[in-house]
Amino acid sequence: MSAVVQTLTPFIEKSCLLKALQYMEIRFSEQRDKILIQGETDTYFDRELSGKFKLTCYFYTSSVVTMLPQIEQKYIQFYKEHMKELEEKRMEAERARIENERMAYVEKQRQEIIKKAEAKGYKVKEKRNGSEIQLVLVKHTY
Amino acid sequence: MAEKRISITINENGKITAKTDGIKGEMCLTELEEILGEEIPAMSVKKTDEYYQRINSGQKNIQKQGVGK
Repeated sequence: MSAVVQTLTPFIEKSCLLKALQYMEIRFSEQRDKILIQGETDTYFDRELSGKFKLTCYFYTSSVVTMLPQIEQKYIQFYKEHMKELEEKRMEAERARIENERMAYVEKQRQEIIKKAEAKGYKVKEKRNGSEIQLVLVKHTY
Repeated sequence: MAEKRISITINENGKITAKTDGIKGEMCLTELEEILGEEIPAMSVKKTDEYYQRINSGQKNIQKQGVGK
């Protein structure tokens, strides 16, 4: 004899589990790391020490139990979407970092040129043309 | 009264274009070196006809590649 056991995908990301429950139109309320299922006696998800949310229910025939496979599918879908969102945010943060570095470099160039020009007795006029900086240094000599 | 004029453009990538007017001969390059400082070594220099007119005026067009260029 042999046996094959397949477990549910562990519900680790709470926001994805909540979304899955909402999608399945399961009403719930939250108490810290406990998600109480409304309309069901003593039925709730709570976070185990391992980090996953485990369903505990008073009746094995609870509708939530029968819906677990669909909840799991939606959880997986929302988890993937969540990961994609985080990746996009990470990319955006990286883009902003690089852009800030470029702007800081240009600003430093501008400041150094003005400082040196003024030290040499030039009057500095500055104009912005979009993102372009135009400096006109003028010195009168006799 | 003589006027020395240096027009500098820094584009969005940090590329600098500088042009001098009213500065005689090689002084225009010296003046740019002093103002642009460490930007100078990597830049290309175009000497205009005026550069060689030591008595009347000097003019240079200078371009420097900016960040990551």
